[in-house]
Formats: sequence, structure tokens, C-alpha cells
Amino acid sequence: MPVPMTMERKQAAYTNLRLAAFAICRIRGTPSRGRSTKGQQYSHIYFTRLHHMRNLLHALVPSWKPQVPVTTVLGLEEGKDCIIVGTLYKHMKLKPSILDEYSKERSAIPLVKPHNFMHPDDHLILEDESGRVTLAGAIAPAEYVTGVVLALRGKETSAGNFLVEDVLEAGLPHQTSLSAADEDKYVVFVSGLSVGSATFNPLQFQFLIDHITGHLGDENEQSIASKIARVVVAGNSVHISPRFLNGQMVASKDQSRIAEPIKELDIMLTQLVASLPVDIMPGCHDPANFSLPQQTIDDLYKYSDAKDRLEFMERTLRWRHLAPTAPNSLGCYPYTDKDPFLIDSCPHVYFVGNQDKYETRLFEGPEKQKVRLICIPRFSDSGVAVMLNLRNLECSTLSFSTSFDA
Amino acid sequence: MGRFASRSTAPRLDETRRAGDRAVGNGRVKTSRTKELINMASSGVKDFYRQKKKGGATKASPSSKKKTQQYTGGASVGASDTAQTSALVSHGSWDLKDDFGDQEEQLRQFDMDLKFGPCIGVTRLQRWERASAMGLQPPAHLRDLLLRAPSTKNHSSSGPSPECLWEGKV
Repeated sequence: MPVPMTMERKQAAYTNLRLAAFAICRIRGTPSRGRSTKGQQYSHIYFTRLHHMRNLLHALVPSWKPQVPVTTVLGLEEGKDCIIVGTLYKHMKLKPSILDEYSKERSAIPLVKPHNFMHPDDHLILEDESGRVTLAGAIAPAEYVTGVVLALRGKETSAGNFLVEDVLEAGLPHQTSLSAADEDKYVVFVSGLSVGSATFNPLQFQFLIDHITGHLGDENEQSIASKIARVVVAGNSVHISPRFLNGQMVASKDQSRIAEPIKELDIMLTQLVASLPVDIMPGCHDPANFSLPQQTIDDLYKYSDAKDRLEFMERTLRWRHLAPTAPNSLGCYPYTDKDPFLIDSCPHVYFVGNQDKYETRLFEGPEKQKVRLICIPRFSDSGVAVMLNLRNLECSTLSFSTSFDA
Repeated sequence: MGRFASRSTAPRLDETRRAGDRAVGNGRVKTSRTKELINMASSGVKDFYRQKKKGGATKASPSSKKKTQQYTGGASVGASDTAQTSALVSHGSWDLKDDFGDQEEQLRQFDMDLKFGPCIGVTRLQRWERASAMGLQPPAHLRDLLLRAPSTKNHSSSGPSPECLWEGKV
């Protein structure tokens, strides 16, 4: 009788490098005096963002346009060629105002929002501590959003606008080189499980779990599965029915049903974690704090235009900011001493969850940086999870289907 | 006596009215509140009382820092003892140095300095630490001042406040 072969799962060293960056400092000492609005000022994020990015851009300006003077917005002189550095503000005609949000909350069903708020009349304004100036010229409003910090070269016109001739973005930061690995090790990314939704297929999710834990397939498949070192669940793992979330009282018979999707997810994940480490991230539909900005790329899609989602990701890397639209159109915590979404060092893998389809590209930077960009599709819609090889940053998919005619 | 025109009597009916002047039924023009104070400061507190008020000392405070003080009868907010108020009444001069003194004045200048960023929503010490971490070189002696400041906020304390000048006012 043949002896069943045991396979060891591969392991990969793991450190969470950025945990401290997002920590919120507690205010020591001062007793609470019922000031509920204490600290809710977003101006500090913009100040720290501008200061940090301006230092970066000032360092890059001499090699970009030597001999051209750098000035503040208030110091602009008509007709004089110069460089200004500031934060962009995009004035958008169709952008919804905060008052609309109030009326939307009243209805049980969320109103359908337009996919995109762009309009041909949108224009850009550059702002620094001294003032603002409207921009015209070689800068396309469709490609930019509020909150990006740039250096612009041009001159002030008689109409009081700034005619842009050239744009400098901070560009990709420096990347530490990847240590050479000699064997294949994989990380599986899955997002949009949506346990509890109408589109959730428990059998499909069970197939994924069985495959990763090695309960599916022959020895060949099992040996591939044994090389998976980690699973990352990238958001929207549960779906809680909107009728429980509109602020109305929940009947007692329904109260036990609110947590059912989470209980079911718990049972499924228990199988996974018995076999390998799992990272789980909150998505915009998960019961997590609103202040963790979600949908950073989806927000860019609402306010600007690009040929595909990967291009939005490339732009965030060049702007060195994960969530430039926060806090303008994306909720986030009102940090006062830092902007933690600034990208200090170039990542090797940059992924976005809950996208419409799977897309990937190896993005190369000017200093030989290589970033694997991944758009992870919603698993409940597509049945697709992504497998990344840590050795060479190559990407492939794991596709699961429960119907025979797929 | 200073920068403001001296007006010790009500304007004549044929004088041009200025914006902010409201006509009162008996024909006398009633000026806005700040103009009352300006009158009081320039012409002497006693003149003012002759025209309008019946008793009660009111502190003159033309500087913009004191916008939110209550101008009610009796000792005003900020006066730590009545002796100073009566001194004011007798001399009729402006009390430009408020009770917090020089230290608070320096801290307020620090609050208003644009270089260190917005001041509302953070304590002064937090703002100082942030400015220092960003390499903006805030004056070192201010940090010592802030560390010695009392931790409870009290309007009538004589020490510098740990919160920015707008705290509780906006």
C-alpha cells in the first residue's frame, strides 16, 4: 500500500512595516471637557502634506529646470517665468455637495450616484499658504484630482491665471532591492467575498479554501498549494443587509441575523487559518471604522479619467500619495502631526481589491524600480483569486466555478 | 489723545451719518458698541458715564485680542482683582497689557505664525513638537514656557494657556 506523501507548507518571514505610521496619538493629560469637536481639523493634514512634498519637490527642481526661480503664489509677477509649488484643487461643477448627503441618508435605498463627476468646465487651482491661483495651459484637469502636490513652471497672465508650461510630479520614491529568493513561494490575494450577500456562493468559497489547504486535487496540485505561504483577504468580506444600516430600529427577531454573515465568515476562515497565516483587511462594506480610507482608486475614478484602473495606481505612485483625495472626498482620521498616506519608499507589490476585473502590470520607474500592480476582482462575482510568486513577482489567477457550463 | 477722533457730545442733526449709526427716536444718534468704547477711551471714562451708563465699571479694551470678553457691569472677565479696575477708572487709560502678560503674548504670536501651520485643533505644545519635527525651528524658549503652563484651562489664571488663542472661541 503506497504511503501517503506528506508535504510541508512553505513559510515566509513577515513583518508589518507600516503599523506605527497610522497610529493615532492620544492626547495626554487634558481631561475631556465635553468638546466633541476637539481635533476635527483637516487643515493639518494638508499642511503636513504640502510641507513634506514641497521639500521633496524643491530638491528635484534644480535638476529639472535650473536657473528658473521658485516663488510663492503671492509672489507671482505678471509675465515672469517661474516655478510654483502647491496643492491642487479641482473645481468640479458636478461634484455633490455635503447637503445632498443629508438627504440621501434619509432614504432606505441609497440613491444611484453618477459614476463620474467630470465635466468639461472643470478647472484646476493651485494653492499654497500664501494664496491660490487658477491654472491654465499644459495641465489637463481630467488627469488630476484635489490634493495632489505638484511643481509647475510657467508664468502669470494678465487675466491673473497661471499659464502652465511644464509639470513636475515627485515621481516614484526609491525602492529597496528585493532579496533574491531561490524557490517559488506564493501569496494568494482574494477580495470581495461578500459573505451574506445574494451573490455569495458558499461552495465556490469552499473550493478556494480546500484548494489552498490541500484538500483538493492530486499530488501535483497539492504541491503547488503547499507553496502558498500566506493569504490576504483584501476587503468586503461580509455583506450586511442595507436595511439594517439605515439608522432605524432593528426588530428583535432580526437582531440575531445581523451578525450571521460574520459568523459564517468566521467558520470559513477558521479552516484557512488552521493551515496558514491569513491577513484580513476591511473594505468599505465591512463593519470597520469609516475613517480608514477605502476605495482610494475608485474615488480617483469618480473624479478623474484614465485608460484603466492600473493607470490610476501608477499616478498615485508618481504623486507619492496613496489617497490624494482624502480628506476631500474620502473619509479619513484628522491627523494633526503627519499625513500617513505619503509613500516614502516604493513598494514591490501594489494591489487594489474589489475591482471589476483582474488586471496586472509590471510598472517600471526611472531608477529601475519595479512594482507589480494588481487589480483583484470581486470573488463573489468572478470566482477569481490572484496568486503572486514572491520570487519573480509574477502573477497568475486561481479560478473557481461551481457550474458545469462555465 | 491717540488714534481715534474725540467725540464727547452727540452729533448734530445736520452732521452726516456714518454707516452703523442708528437713529433713536429722540433725534440723538446711537452709535455702535465699538464706537461707544472708542469714545470712552479717548474722552475719559467719566464722560462716557455722564452720557450713557448708570454706574458699573466697564473695562476698555480696544485691542482685537479681547473681542470675546463680556462687557457687563462689574469686574470684567480677565481682571484678577478689583484694584486694577479702579485704577483704570481713575486714569482713564487703555490697559494694553492683558493679565496673561508677555508670555501669553509671545505664545499668541507663535499661534499666528503661518510658517508653523494651522493652530486650531492642536494644543500649543503639540504644534511646537510638530514644527520641531518638521525642521521649522520654532523658538526653543516657548517649549519651556508651555511645559511649565498649568494643565487646567482657567480663564482667570495668570499663566500662559496650553491651548491656542482661538480655543473655545470658534
